[in-house]
Amino acid sequence: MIDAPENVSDSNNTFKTVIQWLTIAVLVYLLISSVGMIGAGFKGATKGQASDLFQFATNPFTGLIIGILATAMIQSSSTVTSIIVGLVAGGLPVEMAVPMIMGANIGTTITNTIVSLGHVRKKKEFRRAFASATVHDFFNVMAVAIFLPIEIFFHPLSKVGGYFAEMFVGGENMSVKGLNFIKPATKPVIDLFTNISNAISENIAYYLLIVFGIGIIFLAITVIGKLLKKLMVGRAKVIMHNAIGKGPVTGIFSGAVITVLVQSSSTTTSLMVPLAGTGVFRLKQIYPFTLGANIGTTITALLAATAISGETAVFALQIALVHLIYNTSAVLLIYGVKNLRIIPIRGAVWLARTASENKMIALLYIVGVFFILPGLLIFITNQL
Amino acid sequence: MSNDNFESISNKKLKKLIKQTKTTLSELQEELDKRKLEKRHEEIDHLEEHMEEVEHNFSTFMTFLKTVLKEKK
Repeated sequence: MIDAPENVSDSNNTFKTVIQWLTIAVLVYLLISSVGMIGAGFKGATKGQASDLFQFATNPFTGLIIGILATAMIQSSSTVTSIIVGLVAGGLPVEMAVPMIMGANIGTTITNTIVSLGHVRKKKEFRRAFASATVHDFFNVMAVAIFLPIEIFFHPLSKVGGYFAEMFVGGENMSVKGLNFIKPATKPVIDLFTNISNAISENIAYYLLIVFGIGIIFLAITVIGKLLKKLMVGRAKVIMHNAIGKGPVTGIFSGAVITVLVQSSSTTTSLMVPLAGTGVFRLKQIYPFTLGANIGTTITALLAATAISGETAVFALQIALVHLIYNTSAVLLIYGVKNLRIIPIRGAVWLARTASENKMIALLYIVGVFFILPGLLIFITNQL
Repeated sequence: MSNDNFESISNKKLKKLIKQTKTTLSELQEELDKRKLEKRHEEIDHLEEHMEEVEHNFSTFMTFLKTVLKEKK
């Protein structure tokens, strides 16, 4: 009898958890549907001439900057990469989308950098927290500096991504093998929003469909992230407890798994900031987790790609695979080579030391790197 | 113990002392590593709190801005 209130509370918790998981399932369904909506809207709006609409992004640096700015403003690389998958499904050429994906990687690092600012009142703590956040920035900028020029000239990422996409996509209706049910499953939602868009204005119906798609992706990813944080914190704890003292490969793997579980690289990298700030974890120990987050975050774009069927399904999957291959290759190359591995650490330590002496530097760094510099570069590239 | 004191010690005793010191040193290192590891585990036990901490980006940024401006004055 004494246990009765506990039993009630347990069943309430179970009920709450079930509701939360059901909500996640509905949101994933909406996420997948909204990627299809963007694809359909973009295809209709551009009448198959998507590359014309994105003429301004033919310069890869412009694409890169769009990726940085969009992600820094939305603070979610998963949202931006899912939108990019939708755009590719709507006809945006993969070669234009690759720099945008790379830019999303840089843009997403703003979140943990802002989190590190919370330690501003204690100098030493701030220095450690800021270094643990900016090591991700340095790594991602370095990855772009290495891989973007190679991609521009030789297209290795697009080629490998294309090869695997062709392997996975095929059959009669050109959708991800084994996932041919996705199109009929998402059709009701896409049709509903197409009708709503048409009812609002037939002239701009396709654009409205894109806007609805972007809105739903953003909403779905934000709410999924919040729910998964609550539901998965226990699992993340277990993974991290197991990873302690087991070396960098386990760290990378754990970072990737936690990111898949919470569906947000920003959450994983931001979680590392307070751990480093207290001084209990050293920068060298945080670094592999951060890199794992880069790999884990690619799952969202892959999930989004399953929504696409038809002739562009192969390209949607190709860009999602490019994201995975790029992030994995960057970790293998930069972390694998000792002389390269140390560069982001040295850069972050130097910047953190400077910023802890003069906090204004931290502010200038964030505004400059994530907004002013990309804006200036867009301006310059448009003038050329 | 100064160097003068060492001169009076036999080689055998010296070797024994070195061995003992090495053992003590490795035990101390082990204890230190154990404590560090325990602290890391304790920190991870507070992961829920850290999760909540990282959710307030805007207010974090505003607090930072206020602190920087205050320092500048």
